[in-house]
Amino acid sequence: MIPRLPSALLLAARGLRQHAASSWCAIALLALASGGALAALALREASARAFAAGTGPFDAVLGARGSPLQIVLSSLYHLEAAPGLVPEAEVDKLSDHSAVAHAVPLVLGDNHEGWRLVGTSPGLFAPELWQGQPAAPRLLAGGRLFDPARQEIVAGSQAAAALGLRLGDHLTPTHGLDYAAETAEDHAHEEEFTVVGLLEPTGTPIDRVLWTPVHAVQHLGGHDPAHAHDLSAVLVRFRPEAGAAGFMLAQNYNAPGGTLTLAWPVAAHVAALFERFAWADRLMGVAAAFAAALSALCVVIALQASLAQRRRDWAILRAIGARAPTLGAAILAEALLLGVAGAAGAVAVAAGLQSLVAWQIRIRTGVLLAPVPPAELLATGAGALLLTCALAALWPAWTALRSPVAEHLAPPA
Amino acid sequence: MLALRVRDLVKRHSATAGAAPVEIRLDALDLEAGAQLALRGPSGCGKTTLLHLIAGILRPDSGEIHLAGELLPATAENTRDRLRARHLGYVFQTFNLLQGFTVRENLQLAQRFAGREGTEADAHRERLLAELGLAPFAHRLPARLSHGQQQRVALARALVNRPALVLADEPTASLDDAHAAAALSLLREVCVSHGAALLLATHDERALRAFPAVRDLKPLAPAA
Ligand SMILES: Nc1ncnc2c1ncn2[C@@H]1O[C@H](COP(=O)(O)OP(=O)(O)OP(=O)(O)O)[C@@H](O)[C@H]1O
Ligand SMILES: [Mg+2]
Repeated sequence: MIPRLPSALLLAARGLRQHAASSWCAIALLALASGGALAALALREASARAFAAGTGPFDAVLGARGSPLQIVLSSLYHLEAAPGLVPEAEVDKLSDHSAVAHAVPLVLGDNHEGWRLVGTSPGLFAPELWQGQPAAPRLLAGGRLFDPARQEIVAGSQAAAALGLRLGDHLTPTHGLDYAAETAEDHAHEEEFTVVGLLEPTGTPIDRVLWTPVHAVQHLGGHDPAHAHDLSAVLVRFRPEAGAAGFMLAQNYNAPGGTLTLAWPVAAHVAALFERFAWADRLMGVAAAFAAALSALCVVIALQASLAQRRRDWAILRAIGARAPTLGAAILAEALLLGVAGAAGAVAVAAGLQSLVAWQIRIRTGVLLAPVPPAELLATGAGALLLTCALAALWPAWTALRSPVAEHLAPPA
Repeated sequence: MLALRVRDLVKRHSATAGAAPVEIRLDALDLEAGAQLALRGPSGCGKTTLLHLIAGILRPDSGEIHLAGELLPATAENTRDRLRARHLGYVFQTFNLLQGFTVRENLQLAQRFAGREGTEADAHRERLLAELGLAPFAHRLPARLSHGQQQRVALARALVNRPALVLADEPTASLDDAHAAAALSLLREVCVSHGAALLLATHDERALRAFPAVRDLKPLAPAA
């Protein structure tokens, strides 16, 4: 018995079922092409937002004279090396400045199996510094902050997980920012560090770092004693009421002839970083547009193919009394059914792709991307897909309306 | 009442590759309700074209066709579709069953397009299926039926809407003598028992012999 569906829907559903193989092909193509497009769009958004959030509460970073971008990358994202050294006295100078609320020292230069050991002060973990931030570094129960005078480690969540660190573990850092197993022996320090604290995941680059006191890093055996009072960078947070202080400070530090650079405002430099990837962004845009065009083409081809197979069926239906508009509506309905199934698949593909990419980015950079595309984007994408399907069906539907019944009644020669 | 009335029908086929334009004519044809008539003519004389015109799936260049007392309009396609669905059953030489639908659904679709649904329509359909020995196969797809069974489905579908007129195009062309005779007598019997007039087009002498009335079609006239 035929189900009590409107005739157009019934014919569409049966048509899809009768040509199941090509229907599934069309749905798969639609899902992959538009899912890819959606994921590309969503990732553009998500990565820009996540990168901007990666600067945490800091407004500026003081580093050795050099590229502000390099300073930001090395101190906030823990990528690449710092351009040089900053005298330790700068921390006090900055702290004493009326516009500065927090000045946090950083020393880089060592790693443990590829995970950076970064010297800092307990001030980095001050709750008031992180107030109002989406994620703050918080100690897991049972741990404590490092003692500034001892060789102790508070491990970021990702580093801890990757290294399998537990409270009380001991480890021996290696000199250098990158880890090479074959030379690790030669560069290994003598000192043993103890893990005294583990951090909750924050979804920021903090998760990838083994945090340790400044002095512990400065005095590691094998480090040049001449630099025992140098830092790699100072992270700066201004007072809310500081106004133009950042501008004034940057003017002073960045004046010609100086030895230091104040990367300020941090957000602007992160934006500049994104400018560097503008080509990749544009490429993603092109890929998204390409995928969208591809999905439109899929619908047209799928419909044309099914229509060619079914011209005779349409003619028979007309001959037993089906009205032309019913058949036109059936073709439209068929396209929309393909579209609905394709859109469902596309949402799944987009979510899958994004979580895959987000996972990889988190592992490689510690930047936490939204694991699924935003619902509005998915809804818009699904709507666009349905609209495309409807538009793609117009021509085949029109052809079916106009095609002379008698000519297609005979069996194909 | 007349099941079919045709006057001054003219259909011109434009020239196709390798063929001159042709003009198919039928000056007058009247078929009483329940009557049976065979159209005889050699291949290519225009039999199929005439049946298509009467069914309203081709538009004549001029002339009038009345189906069960209603004029088939030349322009309003909707009305032609409606009249076809309500008054006409068509048995094609190749059956033209819908392959994506079961036997029962083939009939049901025809009923739906004619606006005949409901318990009375269901009962009529099931009676017809039983009468033609199709009840055991009603849930099958046409491809899983024998040639003879498919022909009976085509017949059942043609009759399911209680049409005033059944058109049959070469219903015996691909059958051997025994089957041709059986198919033809079944066709004629059910048309009589359901009160439908029958207009059959063929050049098969075996079929023509069985018919009480035969109308010879004129050879094709070259188009003006
Ligand atoms: N769509 C068309 N365009 C042009 N010429 C056509 C068309 N359809 C049919 N004809 C021509 O019209 C004539 C009648 O064709 P038709 O199919 O009606 O003949 P027929 O009597 O049914 O033949 P047969 O016995 O072989 O089925 C033929 O000469 C054919 O070539
Ligand atoms: Mg013919």
